[in-house]
Amino acid sequence: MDMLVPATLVAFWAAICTLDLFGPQLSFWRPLVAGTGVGVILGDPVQGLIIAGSLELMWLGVVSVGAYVPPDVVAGSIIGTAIGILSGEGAVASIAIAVPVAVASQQLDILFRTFTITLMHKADKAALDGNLNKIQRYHLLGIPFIILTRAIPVFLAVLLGAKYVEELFSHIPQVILDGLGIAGGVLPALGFAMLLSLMLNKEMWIFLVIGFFLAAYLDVPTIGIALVGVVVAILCDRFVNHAKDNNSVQTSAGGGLE
Amino acid sequence: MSEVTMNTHSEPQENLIVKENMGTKIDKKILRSMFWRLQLFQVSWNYERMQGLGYAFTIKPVLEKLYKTKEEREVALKRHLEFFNTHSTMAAPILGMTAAIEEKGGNGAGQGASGIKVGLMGPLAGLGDSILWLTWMPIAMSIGAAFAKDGNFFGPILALILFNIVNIPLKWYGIKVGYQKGVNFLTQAGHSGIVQRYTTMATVLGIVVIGGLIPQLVQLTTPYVLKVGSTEIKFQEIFDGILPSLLPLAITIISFMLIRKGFNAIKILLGMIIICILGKWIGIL
Repeated sequence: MDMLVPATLVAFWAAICTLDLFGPQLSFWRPLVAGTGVGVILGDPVQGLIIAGSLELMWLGVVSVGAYVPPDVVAGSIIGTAIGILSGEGAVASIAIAVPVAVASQQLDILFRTFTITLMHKADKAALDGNLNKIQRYHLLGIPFIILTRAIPVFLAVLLGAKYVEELFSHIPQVILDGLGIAGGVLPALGFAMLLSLMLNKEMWIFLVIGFFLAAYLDVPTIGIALVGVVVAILCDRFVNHAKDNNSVQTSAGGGLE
Repeated sequence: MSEVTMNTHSEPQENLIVKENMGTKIDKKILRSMFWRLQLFQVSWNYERMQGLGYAFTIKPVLEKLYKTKEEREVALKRHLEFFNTHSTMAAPILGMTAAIEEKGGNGAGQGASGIKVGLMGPLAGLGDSILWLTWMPIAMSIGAAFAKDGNFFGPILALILFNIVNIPLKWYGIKVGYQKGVNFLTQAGHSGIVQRYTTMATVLGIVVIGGLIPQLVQLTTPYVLKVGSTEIKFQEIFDGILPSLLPLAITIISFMLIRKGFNAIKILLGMIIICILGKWIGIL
């Protein structure tokens, strides 16, 4: 059982990343950071970085907006990266594993968020006694459960999964593996499309053209494009709100004189 | 000179009220405690009242300080266990403001506190989503991912620093300024449409950046060469002649339109993988 220690360590890392997602949201839950951590733990940091970078670009648009529970990128990227490294198949295997895992883990997440309703009702009862400390305890009681929803699947997958994946991949024809490799380059398009579907409306597409032009024709790096974006956003705001601003200045000036 | 003072005429009055309250009951220690508690805001997230329990947990030090009897606490807790859901970073100013209302008006102003929560959670969720989730996060992460794909450790570290240089101050100053300026801070802003304006500006910035990321990070070219007699037609050269990064742009727009048509992202992903494999097999990819 030489996988026991790495499996435990990766599961512990999964716990930290999960707590980040439900807590401070410092980005440890993002594939880029979560996957890199797995690479470090499993002793192949460079491979971990490459896989984490690929998964991050694929899942750039996966964020929780409103009450929507998205595919779980924490379990997806941690298990995906671990299997990619342990099976020796790299980023291709990682993407193939990470996607179904994220969807399955999403169901566990929904289960957790349903279970926590009981905590809510217990807190209601504690509120009748004005018991603040009990309320605090019920809130914090969510932590072990939320951690386990990710840590247990990660532990099992790392402990048992790698050798099956290795076996599985040895039977897959080369043309499919090559196709998966190409897909790795294409998948960021889906990430961007998901982001755009939340942001883009009819008047906004022109801004997409500006960014595309700067990168495709002028090779401006991302930070430079972001700076142009800030300028465009401010100019656009000034332009749209110019008339309104003038009015509000006049009315507030009038109010001051009174 | 005169114009400046006139423009800010509404503030001195508000400042008076704030100064009256500052340091009486809620001190910096309590605000700091709320900040740390906000770092565990969603660990009890549930479908019934979402961040309701998290809100009560985070504002606990305020209630502890202001209300001493069981009855008072019961009333106060009831309104802070209500349904609540917003972007977890953007909960900070709402927490600060409700702390100020609780301090000023006590349980008598309970409706005011609930009103602020309900009234601001929607607009602030929109602001947080558009500034942090849809703009700043993709910028920070895609810059980091570009380094990471070259095996460079600088990537994830840079991404963490970039994201949190915005994320953490928003939380701390959200609570602090929300408390100090009180209700007027964002209710006024809400009326004058400032929240909406910042949301739009963040969206514009995000779209410009995504436009730039498409040619940088989506990789798709064709090795396909058509031989007509002795001349070779390289398709990639033709595409580059029309528009650099034509294929990455096309695949992004197609995906976007499919999502808009209601296709599930997972289905699009599987479709992409199948097309890539087929494309490789027949030799066009």
